Amino acid sequence: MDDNALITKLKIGSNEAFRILVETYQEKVLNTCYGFMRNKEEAEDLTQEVFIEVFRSIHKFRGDSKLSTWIYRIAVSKSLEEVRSRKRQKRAAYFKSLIGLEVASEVVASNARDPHQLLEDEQRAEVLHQMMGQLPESQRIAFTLHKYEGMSYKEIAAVMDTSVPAVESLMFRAKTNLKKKLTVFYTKKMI
Amino acid sequence: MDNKERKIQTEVEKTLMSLDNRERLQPNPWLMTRIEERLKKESQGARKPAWSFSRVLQPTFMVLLLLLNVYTAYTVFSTESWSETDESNDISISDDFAYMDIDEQTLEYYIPE
Repeated sequence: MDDNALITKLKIGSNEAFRILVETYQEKVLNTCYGFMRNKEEAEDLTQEVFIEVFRSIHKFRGDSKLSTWIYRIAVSKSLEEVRSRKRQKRAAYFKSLIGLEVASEVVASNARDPHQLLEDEQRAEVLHQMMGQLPESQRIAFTLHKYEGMSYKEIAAVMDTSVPAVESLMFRAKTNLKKKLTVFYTKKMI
Repeated sequence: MDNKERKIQTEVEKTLMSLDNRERLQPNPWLMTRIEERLKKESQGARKPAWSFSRVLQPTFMVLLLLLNVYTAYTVFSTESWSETDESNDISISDDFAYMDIDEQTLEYYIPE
């Protein structure tokens, strides 16, 4: 079934069309969400939310972009919402711990895995993910979509609703920033 | 570039490439079932009547609270009588203790001959 036929059936509420849509895009959505969350369970929860959002708002889809681009946009915005909400929770937990209401480690715990137990590549990916979290949002989106989804700059430009040169610039700045942050990290580690 | 710097650069490059050979996550086989369950729950929730106790109670409570605030502010600050009373108190106290008289007399008046 091509995208147009799928969209038409989705708009009239076909369960079969929705099942096909989920089967077609679930891996892409899951890996995109994982790129932002770096936690499988959280990425799976977000994947469910993305498809529920797709189901709810398919009637708003006007076909200005490809269906896949539209779904990626929802996945990215849902992931960013979740990342922001996590940051707010961490800040709240930190302030609560300052005034002795709660121990901050409860919220931070999900990321606090012992690096010695991880394989070298996994450990490096964890470090890289931490540094990616410090990038400006647009650089982070471009870098995540490129690295986790293997998207071309043209596809990223479509998802981010910008031009290819803008994506090239974002990727260049993201790599430069990451190099700087990683150099500082490894310099401290080797002292 | 010394040995340490070279080591750091190697680590940086390796880390930047660490995602290149990453295995992609495979979706949960129960994903569709879970989505269907959530959609079913949501549609059941949506069938509940739009009117609910909290929807009516919340705005009513807020309006009452606002009116109470306005009334309190009115009774406390609409007080010409309050400032007048204060002023008259001041005058009566100063009269009692004759502060005004002290100002009016010269210093010699208080020195015994």
